[in-house]
Amino acid sequence: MNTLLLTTPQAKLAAGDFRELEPKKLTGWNIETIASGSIGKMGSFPTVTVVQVGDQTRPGQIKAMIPRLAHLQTGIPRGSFVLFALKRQARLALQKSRAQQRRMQAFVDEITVGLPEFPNPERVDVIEYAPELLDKLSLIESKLKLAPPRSSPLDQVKEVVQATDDLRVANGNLSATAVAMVFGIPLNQLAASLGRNRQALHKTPDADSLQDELAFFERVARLRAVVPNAGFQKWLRMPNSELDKKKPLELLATGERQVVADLVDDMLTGAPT
Amino acid sequence: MSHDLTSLKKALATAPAMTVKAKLFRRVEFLALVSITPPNWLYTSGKPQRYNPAGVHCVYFGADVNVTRTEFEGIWQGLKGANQPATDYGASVDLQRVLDLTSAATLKALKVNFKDLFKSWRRAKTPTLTQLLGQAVSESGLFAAICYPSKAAAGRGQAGVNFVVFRDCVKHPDSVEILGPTSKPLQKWP
Repeated sequence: MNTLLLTTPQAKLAAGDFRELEPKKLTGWNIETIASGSIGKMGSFPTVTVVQVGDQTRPGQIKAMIPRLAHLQTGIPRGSFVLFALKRQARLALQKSRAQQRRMQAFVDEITVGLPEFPNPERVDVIEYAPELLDKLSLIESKLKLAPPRSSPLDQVKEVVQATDDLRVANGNLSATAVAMVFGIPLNQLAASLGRNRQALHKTPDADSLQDELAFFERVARLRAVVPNAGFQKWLRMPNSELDKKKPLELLATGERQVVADLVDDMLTGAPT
Repeated sequence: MSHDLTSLKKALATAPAMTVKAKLFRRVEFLALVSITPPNWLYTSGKPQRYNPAGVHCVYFGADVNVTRTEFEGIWQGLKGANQPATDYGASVDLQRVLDLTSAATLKALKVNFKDLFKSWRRAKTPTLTQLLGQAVSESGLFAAICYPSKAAAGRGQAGVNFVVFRDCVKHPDSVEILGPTSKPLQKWP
């Protein structure tokens, strides 16, 4: 189940925070509510984080929490969503309404400045609280079923990208059949790892709907730019100290694909251990 | 002992600082280096690493060529990729305040156990202690860098030291200069 984290930039949550949200309209989400200071103490990464920005918020508080929110994005294979939900007071006198508008603009400016800090800035958004939020969450649920792994500095290196040419068919799509062959696993096993129907995978191994999941395997296979295929297959099956002694293939099968893709990225870019 | 960002920031204020004026080293795969033209010798991806959560920009160095090579070979773990062309380069570093995690006094001030510095971080569901430390240093601006023991070197039974320098914390008179063929640095911070 996808996790929805509700938080505010303030150090502590107030009693009335999030009261406009109707839990029955959020079925399908595992909802957690914590203060911004506790982000990082959670047992898991949220799929979506909603930051309620209201009267009590100061722009500096938003700036201070951005690194923590940026870290949250790294725990989800494709990067989690971060929504800053602006909570406006309705029916204000003209002067107060203008003051509120200026305050909201200051929040948006702070978020804009902090945007480059996020590994997946395209998944950060500013919305109006309550009315827009439910529609946005519904849209995100649909998007979660799509989306590829996060970008890599090696995406532009010809030699690295060429190393995975054999995973693609004529139309440029990645093929599950080719992935299974290069990774040395039966197609049935790959289908199980991807949570796909075995027969469908056999029938259309290069289906568009598979491309985002197969993209993680393509990222891992880039290791063959500098490692022969036999060595690559051996590496996939050896316990790796960087992965808590787990085998890369095991993590690819259990869904921790971004972790393995990141390790390969670090190996190819000289990042430290 | 459990740590959080707030407690670490508070503890940093009491931690001793070390001055570092030295030549430090990096070893980067040739393919990665040429992926940007001209090469960005102080490239920061903002991706999470051992001493930084995502979004904190920093560069990692080894104290000497031996430790950078050990790190390089460590991540390749015997694969032939370790034999690919790679570039060693140096930086002249002048930093007034560095947090020295190889010092018992620093660990005591931070209430950090030495063993915790070697815990794995890649599969961690929440920022690890070392990542929180990096974030605390970066956000507080109390230090420009952290000096820490190399896990790869320790794994080989050797003593090796690495440095992580936080881009936004390097301010005049501190400096990091990539050494080139002449006295003019190839790139520098600030």
